[in-house]
Amino acid sequence: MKEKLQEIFRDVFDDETIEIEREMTADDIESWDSLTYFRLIMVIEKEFNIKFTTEKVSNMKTVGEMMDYIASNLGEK
Amino acid sequence: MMREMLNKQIVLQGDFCTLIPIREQDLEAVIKLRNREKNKYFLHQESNLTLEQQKGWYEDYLIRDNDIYWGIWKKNNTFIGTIRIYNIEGDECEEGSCIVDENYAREAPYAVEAKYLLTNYAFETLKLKKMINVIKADNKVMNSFSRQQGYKLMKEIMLGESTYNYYVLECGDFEGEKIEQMLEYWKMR
Repeated sequence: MKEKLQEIFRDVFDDETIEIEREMTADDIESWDSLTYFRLIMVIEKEFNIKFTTEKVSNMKTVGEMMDYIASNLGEK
Repeated sequence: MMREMLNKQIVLQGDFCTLIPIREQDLEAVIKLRNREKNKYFLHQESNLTLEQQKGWYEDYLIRDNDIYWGIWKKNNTFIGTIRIYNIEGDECEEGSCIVDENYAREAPYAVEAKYLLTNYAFETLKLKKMINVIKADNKVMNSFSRQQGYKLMKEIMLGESTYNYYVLECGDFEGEKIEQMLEYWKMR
């Protein structure tokens, strides 16, 4: 899952050098603005066939939180 | 631009937010938002604005015919930000004063839609050909956002001791379709 998520990050942020880490936040990626953030969530939802709750979208701070949410929702399927 | 089309009462309706021209009763909310430290820094505002100052600015604003200042409102009538076009001259204008309250910014793509509505209004209704956006060089979020809208960096300029990026968005470069697709997805989810 991490590899797939990394691929999504590289595609959305248009940066082939991104190496995602659990502690990574918006401050670590130059082009992490609200437009890319909402695009990122959209692509993750489509690729993993999951839905983030509004609360989760509003409050996620780190890539680790994102990974945990994806993993827990994939586990439910 | 046909100047008679500039309407300071124009409400721009989106799916997530509504842009309502600033009214006198909104000024207190405006200064509360503008006086937050981070917003002051990026808006090049050196000190806290007072209500009296803002009222003075607003009186002048009502007389001018080259700018429109909107409040950004959530669907539940919560004021969450501001956005403005100004220096509307010939076929160009500047955009600025874009703030979305951090407490709401990630609930829904409010900032994305607000900028989309504003840009569409400038190009489609006012028939302008070019928009200018001058952004503090270290405002990572706004610089990135503007580039994704289609803005091209033309030069760096100094204002006081700060470096700013001077961007131009030509009408034909606006990435409206990409933004529309994203907004549509969020509307449907």
